[in-house]
Amino acid sequence: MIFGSAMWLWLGLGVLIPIFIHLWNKKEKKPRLLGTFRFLPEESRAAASRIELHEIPLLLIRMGIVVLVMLLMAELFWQKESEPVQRISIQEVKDGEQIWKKDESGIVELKISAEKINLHGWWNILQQVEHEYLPEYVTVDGGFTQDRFKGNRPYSSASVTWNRVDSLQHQQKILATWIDADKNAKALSQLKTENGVVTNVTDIEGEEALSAENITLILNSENAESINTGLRYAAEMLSISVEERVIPNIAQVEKGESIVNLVELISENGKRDWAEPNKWTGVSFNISGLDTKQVFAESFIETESGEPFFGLNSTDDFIINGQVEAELVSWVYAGIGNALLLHSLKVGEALYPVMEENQLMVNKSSSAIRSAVQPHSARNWLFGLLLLFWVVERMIAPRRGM
Amino acid sequence: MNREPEELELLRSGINLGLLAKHIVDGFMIGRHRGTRRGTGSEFSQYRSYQPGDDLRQVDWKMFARSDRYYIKESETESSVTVRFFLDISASMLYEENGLSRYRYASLVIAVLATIASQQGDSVALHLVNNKEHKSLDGKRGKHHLNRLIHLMDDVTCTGHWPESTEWLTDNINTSSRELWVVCSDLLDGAKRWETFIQLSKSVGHEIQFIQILGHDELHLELENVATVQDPETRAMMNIKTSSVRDKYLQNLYAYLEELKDGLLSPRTDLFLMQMNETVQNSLYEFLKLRERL
Repeated sequence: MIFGSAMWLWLGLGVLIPIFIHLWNKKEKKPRLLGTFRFLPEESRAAASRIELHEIPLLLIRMGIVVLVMLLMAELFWQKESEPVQRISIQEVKDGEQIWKKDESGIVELKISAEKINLHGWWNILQQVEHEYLPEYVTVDGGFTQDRFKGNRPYSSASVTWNRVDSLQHQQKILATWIDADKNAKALSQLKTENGVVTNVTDIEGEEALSAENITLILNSENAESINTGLRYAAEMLSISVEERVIPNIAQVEKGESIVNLVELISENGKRDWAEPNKWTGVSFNISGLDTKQVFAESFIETESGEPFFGLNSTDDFIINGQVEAELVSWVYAGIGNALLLHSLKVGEALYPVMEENQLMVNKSSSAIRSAVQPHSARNWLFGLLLLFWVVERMIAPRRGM
Repeated sequence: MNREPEELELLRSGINLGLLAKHIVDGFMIGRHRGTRRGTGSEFSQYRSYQPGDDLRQVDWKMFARSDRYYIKESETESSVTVRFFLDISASMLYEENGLSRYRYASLVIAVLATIASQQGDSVALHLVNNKEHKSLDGKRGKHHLNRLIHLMDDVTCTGHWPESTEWLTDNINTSSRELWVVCSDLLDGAKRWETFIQLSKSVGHEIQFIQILGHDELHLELENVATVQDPETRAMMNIKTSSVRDKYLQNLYAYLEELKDGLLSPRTDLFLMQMNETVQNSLYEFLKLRERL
């Protein structure tokens, strides 16, 4: 049960009014002499100062009327009983009714019309999904325009993957193309499936292959082996050729004539901190030698205290601010390498919604959730019950003289 | 807009009953029977000088012996009726409506009737009765007696109920002359309670007029929806939901009033119901009109 306007719940205190009226009627007032007292019926004497049995239903009905009015004002929505699910796939569809289904593997699929998304926005939808299903992973496939991210980002414990699907007409979308180490044309493609949008690397031919460019990840041969292992793993994921030689930085990506550098900065008197799990690395890890004076144009990974650890500087070079603890170096650099390569292929912007800073701020106080996903408004039920209660009250009350 | 009758307002304000009664009586055409006339009788009225043509039997010879003049001794002719009022001073007479008690209303009724009777030369007697005390004033004529009668009603505490026996009355019965007994009460103590009273009056050949005074609210139970009411005699108290008990109440009440009518009406007894929302003047006007027809 959720409420659209929870502030009206204070009207619930109104249930005291019928109780008060009933008790007031029972209260002895200043007695009035009545010479014809003995002609009052016997039964009315017995019922003089106690609540009679037949008054209890009337009292309950009147209390019910007050509660129903309160629930109407508070915009009650039924909440479907559902167990927490592991994965939810939210897909934007062009039109039609909302579809909710849960497959055998426990994946819940929600298909929501573009009209409804425009009305409620992704944040509200994400918030309600979080509230109702408590998922671990959420995949969102749809259009990510600015106007669909109004307000602050809701708090969510789920890992959310945003798949931009600009054109819902085509099943597959090519996000980037390049020539791999074996001189084959490769593409990073988005494929719409029943379980959402799957991003993978495929071989391509024909016209699209002609637009592919060579891309190479150059690793500094003087790097620690654990760093190069992580970066090499990232390249293998995308079938990108890797070279190893002595270069001034940790690594660089060469694509056509452009070069993107990956620079590691370690401050001797730097701060120690740690990073929470994020979409690039997926683990928490300790950082040492963190230079708090570094200025980043865009930050991809930040420490728990908000210091930028990995991001882009003003000259479009990737900066690693500090040193990662030894055990997780390969893992973290695999994630960093992935970000570096996707950025170089210019697919990063396509995969995630572009949002302003205020839109990314987590809204921790929002409790009013409009039913965007499962609109089970209780209004009609409440109106029906209210009408029924009112009719019954009118039938009983005059007969009881109350 | 209804203006509250001036008379009830005056009565509530505690005005002297005698004054108000006189004011009301002045509004009536009085003289229901012959009234006072000068002539022979047992009650001395005045002396006057002998005039030629007077009956010599009327000359007071003792006066002649003392004064050596002829005087005719005149007496008031006795009225043929003594009006004996019985006013109920039981607790139920404390019932109030619009700030006016039933006792006060009944007092005015008696004061007016006594004034009329007195002006007609009838002798008037009063008994204030409940089961605990009995105040009475013997039957006499004259203004002073009327004032005493009215004054007697001023200082009374209504308590108890109407006595069950009639022992209090037997000492006061005058069987030598015809009497009209007027009983002013709410008559709510039960029809059977009046049986011995009626039998007593019949045994001595008197006529009884019962005047029953009830409030408008008593007759219609038009109280607020939830009210606490108290029996003035038993002091029992309870809350009632007026609308839910009204039908049954009215059924009980009117059944009793019918029973009362059956029990009280006879060729020599009559019953007249007055409602306290009506002025005494209007009620008595109706009452006297009815008696005139009888």
